[in-house]
Amino acid sequence: MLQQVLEGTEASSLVVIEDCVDHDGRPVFHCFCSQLAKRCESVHLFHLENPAGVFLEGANISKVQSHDGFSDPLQWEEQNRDPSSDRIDLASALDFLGHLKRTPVKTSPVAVVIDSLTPFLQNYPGYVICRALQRLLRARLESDGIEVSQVVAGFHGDLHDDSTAAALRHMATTWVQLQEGAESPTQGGAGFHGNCEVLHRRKSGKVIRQAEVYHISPQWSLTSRVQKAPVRPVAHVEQEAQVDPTANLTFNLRLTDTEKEARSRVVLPYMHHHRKKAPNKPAANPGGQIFYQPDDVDDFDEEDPDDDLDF
Amino acid sequence: MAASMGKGGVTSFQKKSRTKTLQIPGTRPSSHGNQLLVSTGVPSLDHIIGGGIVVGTVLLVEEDSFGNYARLLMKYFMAEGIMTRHPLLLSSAELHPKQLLRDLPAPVSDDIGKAALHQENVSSEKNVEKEATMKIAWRYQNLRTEQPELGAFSQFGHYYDLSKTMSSEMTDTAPSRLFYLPDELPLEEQGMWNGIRNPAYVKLLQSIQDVVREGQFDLTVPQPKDMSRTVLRIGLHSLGSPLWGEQDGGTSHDTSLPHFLHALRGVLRTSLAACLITIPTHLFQDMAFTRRLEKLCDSVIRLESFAGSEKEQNPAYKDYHGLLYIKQLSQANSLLSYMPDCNDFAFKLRRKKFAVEKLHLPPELQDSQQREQDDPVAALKTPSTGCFSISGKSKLDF
Repeated sequence: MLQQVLEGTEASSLVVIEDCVDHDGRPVFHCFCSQLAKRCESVHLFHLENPAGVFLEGANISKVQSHDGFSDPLQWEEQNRDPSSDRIDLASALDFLGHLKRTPVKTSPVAVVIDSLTPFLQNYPGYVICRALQRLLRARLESDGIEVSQVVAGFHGDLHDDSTAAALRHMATTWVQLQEGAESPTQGGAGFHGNCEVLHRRKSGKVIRQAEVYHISPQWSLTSRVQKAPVRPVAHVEQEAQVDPTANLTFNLRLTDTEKEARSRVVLPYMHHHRKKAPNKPAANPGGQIFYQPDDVDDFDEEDPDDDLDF
Repeated sequence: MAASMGKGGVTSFQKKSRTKTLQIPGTRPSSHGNQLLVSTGVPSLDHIIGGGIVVGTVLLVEEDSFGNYARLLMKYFMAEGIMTRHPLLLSSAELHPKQLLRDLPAPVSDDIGKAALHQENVSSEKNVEKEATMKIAWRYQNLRTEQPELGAFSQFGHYYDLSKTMSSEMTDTAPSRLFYLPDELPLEEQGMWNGIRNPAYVKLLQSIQDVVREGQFDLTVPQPKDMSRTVLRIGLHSLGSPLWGEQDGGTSHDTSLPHFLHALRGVLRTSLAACLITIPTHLFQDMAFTRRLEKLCDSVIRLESFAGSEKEQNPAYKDYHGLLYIKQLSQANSLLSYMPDCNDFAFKLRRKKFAVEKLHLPPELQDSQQREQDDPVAALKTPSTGCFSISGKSKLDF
């Protein structure tokens, strides 16, 4: 799923990559940058935590427009206070679309990569970020002159509380949570690998949640595959073999075929008895007949004791 | 004497009452109160909330995690409004209301348009003959001359087909007012807001009040007797999401949303309008905030969908797509609300229909788990009102 989102086979308007201290998201980010530079006409990179060069290594730089929020975000230096420059000012109102509109855009669609939402979330409340992202996503060619095809944003899960994460997760169409791996590259350039959990929402409404393993090559291309979930003991019911009660006995309880047939032919008692005695007994209840067979010791009295009852 | 509106339309039963009861197409009187009901568009949902939404009240739908089913309920509500020719007011902050209206489910019976046309022609002809009084069958004098067909606009609770969308002529000609927050709020107020009241909610309340006043839905203003009245359907999609300016998941003691709901109820109580609101309460960290919002609305249901959660694999739930909880039912003008006979409901979304059903657990077959803790079906058998724990057989059980 991560690979499909990266390559564009799965359409996703807002991708959020959640990382933490143990599992760094920068390699995945780098892959997104280089892939988007190949796929889209122009890429806008808002970098606030790292210099631009970290992500642009190996990518087509001519297509990438970087907005600098790293060197002087709070505009301390006099020469950087020019409003027409490319710099992100954390003290003014947040407007990603405004930044995009300021640079002369020749082509569309445009992809936007935001290195991290953390500096924004530290300066503005969560809903301001959500509103700014939404303005980016719904920018249309006719009204704003620009159209954004995909936004990729980084999010540090251990720096923000649950409500902010929940609000962003509500907006995001793909949420990638990095879980393990992402070891530093060895000298041989073996690349990075790790586990992640991807929650992807399609436009049709279908939600896919998968645990995946990804691998990043030294040329910054990412491959991922679904990791087989460990077998839960609840889901798999072991069918106990039914114990055969006639086995392991000292006597024989089994029947041969002829014996089984003879058994089926046995007439059970009380099934269809002929009346042997008392033929003159009237059929008292025509619905059910009583068949009485007196024993030898039975005292069968012809005289009906109920005859003297007087009503 | 006013003819009461039955399910088929025309009945010969006439209630002896001095005041003329309101006859509005698409509504029906409630069976256990002196209230008027409108349909939500899903007949099974209507049944469990007591017949429909009471006119003048608010039905709050607490959204599921991804908001898909709440959006579907809003679409049904709007589609029902178009079918019964009720004016609509739809507001949304994320997707444009026009997009929502373009995607409404199509009604099932095909001869809707034909029935409407036929009715208009027939009524114009019969108008001429109405003056002649009947001499022999004078009891039938006050009855309507033609029978409305099934599927005509006076029917309550239509069925919809989700695989088709409603034709654009029907949606375009329906009287509607759309409120799209990014268009309505000026640009400088779209960032951070300071102050006591969230300007987004203030703007929304103002536009609702304007529509109620202009469309003559206000019951306090006397209207000419022969004016045909209709009910306004208000749909507020995904209110209280971060895009509306709701901060910190309700923990910041911001009272703008409770204030808005309180004012909205005040407007609705004196007007011919019914409102459906969906709020993503799963984003609120503070349960008390959610409870306050519930108390400020009349009927509350909560949707919980299985998509993307571990309940999806639970074999007990394999027929359903989610659970529906009724949290509160409206008590307007009465001492007691409608009491449903059971509280476990589940919904399923089939290709063509969305339906709410009673949750039936599957039969416990022989190949269930050895340990009852592991058995998902047995674990669900815990009644919510049970006073003793079911998990694990206690040695003290007789």
